Amino acid sequence: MVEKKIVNFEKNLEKLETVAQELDKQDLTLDQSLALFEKGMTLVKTCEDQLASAEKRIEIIMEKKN
Amino acid sequence: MNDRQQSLSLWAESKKEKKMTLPKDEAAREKNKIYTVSEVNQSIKAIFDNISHFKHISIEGEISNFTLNQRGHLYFTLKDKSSELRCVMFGARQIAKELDLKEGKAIVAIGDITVYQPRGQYQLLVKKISLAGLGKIYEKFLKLKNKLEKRGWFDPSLKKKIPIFPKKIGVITSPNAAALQDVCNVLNRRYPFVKLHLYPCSVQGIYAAGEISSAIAQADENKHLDVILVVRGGGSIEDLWPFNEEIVAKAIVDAHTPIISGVGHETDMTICDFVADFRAPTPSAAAECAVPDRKDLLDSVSTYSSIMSKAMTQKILALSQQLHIASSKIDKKQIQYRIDSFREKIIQVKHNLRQLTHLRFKEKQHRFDIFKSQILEKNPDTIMNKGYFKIWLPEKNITLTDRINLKKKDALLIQKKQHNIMCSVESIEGKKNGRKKDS
Repeated sequence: MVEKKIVNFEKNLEKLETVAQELDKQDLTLDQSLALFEKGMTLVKTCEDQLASAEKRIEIIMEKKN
Repeated sequence: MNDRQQSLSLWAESKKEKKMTLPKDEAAREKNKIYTVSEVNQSIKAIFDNISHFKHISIEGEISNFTLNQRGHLYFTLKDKSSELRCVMFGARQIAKELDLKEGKAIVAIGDITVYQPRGQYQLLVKKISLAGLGKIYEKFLKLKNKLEKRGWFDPSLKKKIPIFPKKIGVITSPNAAALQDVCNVLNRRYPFVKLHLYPCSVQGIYAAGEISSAIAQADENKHLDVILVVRGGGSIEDLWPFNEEIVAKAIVDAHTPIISGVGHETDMTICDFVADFRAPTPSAAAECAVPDRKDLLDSVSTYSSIMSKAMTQKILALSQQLHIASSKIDKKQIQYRIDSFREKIIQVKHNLRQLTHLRFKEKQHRFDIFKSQILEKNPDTIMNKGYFKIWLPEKNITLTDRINLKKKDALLIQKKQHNIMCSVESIEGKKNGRKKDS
């Protein structure tokens, strides 16, 4: 569960970077820009929610000696 | 020539000198007891050469006035609190590098006390240097460091990249130590999204090196670990010694997983630090290197948010400007004028059309009236009203016209306005140029 979340987070950050770059392009129509912007802001919210969870703690697993 | 040969040649020279001077002034010398400098120095040298414990003597002191010349000969002064002794060592380049000899270094120098006759100086002709006291351990460390460096174990190209977003982290340390606590605190603060796999081992004592290397190997076998931290808190050089053992270095070099080492305090450097894929000054720093800081990540996200907002704002601004330019090109007054003039034209045309239609209609009406009156004139009833008669042929059921040929006794019906007259043909007279013709 934790792993899935983090994979998503990493991917979300990559997507966010892509969207930000795309939005910078000059040749988009207004509709395209608005759609991208909305997508980007959704990603921002998701990332912020994932990162800001204050009560999160690491999981510790004790391995046995060989 | 080597030092022994040099000593011998100096000794031989001194003997020669004696043989040379003695015959000439020997008598005078013996009488006044005036010696040459060389003779005195020679005697002194002889005395020194006879002192057995000046041979292969070990002397401890601190290096000062350190000079290593181009030929690799080392000249320095060995001193303690109240005295100093001049030293020379030939062919010392390698040992100087190996032991990192420099001003202030505490060493043990082994050699012979000799007299350098030309200068009248006694000095230690050094054969061997080692580091004093704690330096012995340090010497051991330096030797191993050199050895492994030559093997290429410190080669930067062997270092693996540390993944940016690890999901599973292995930690090699003592489970009771503060180092583990430090690591956990850092991870919880910066990036609590990881699973930490702890491989417990001793971190000091004689068994530690074996346990540490074994734990590293075990952690490496777990293919899912993204990075391994080898950590231990501060301590003396003896305490940290297990992390200088070759067996630990080998375990790190053999590992396929990237390894971050965080051993001791900032200034401690262990062999472990040199072979690891990344060296952190402390256990906390090791944890910091292993994961990103979520504060930084939040900042990045914030930055992207700003970039997108700016881009959007600029886009809208650019489009607004385009719209403004386009609309200013449209001259509203002109358009209104054109619309108005068209409107007027339409009205005009409508008016003309109406008039024309009316005119046409009037024409048609007029012609119709003419035709009507013409027709009416031709109406037999109108003619009859003027006093003429219509003649009907009841037998043929037609009106009499000029073309019809009548015969005698043909019935005729004269239709007057008020009444009809039935009659028949009595005779028909033909007219030819006005003259009567009987038939």
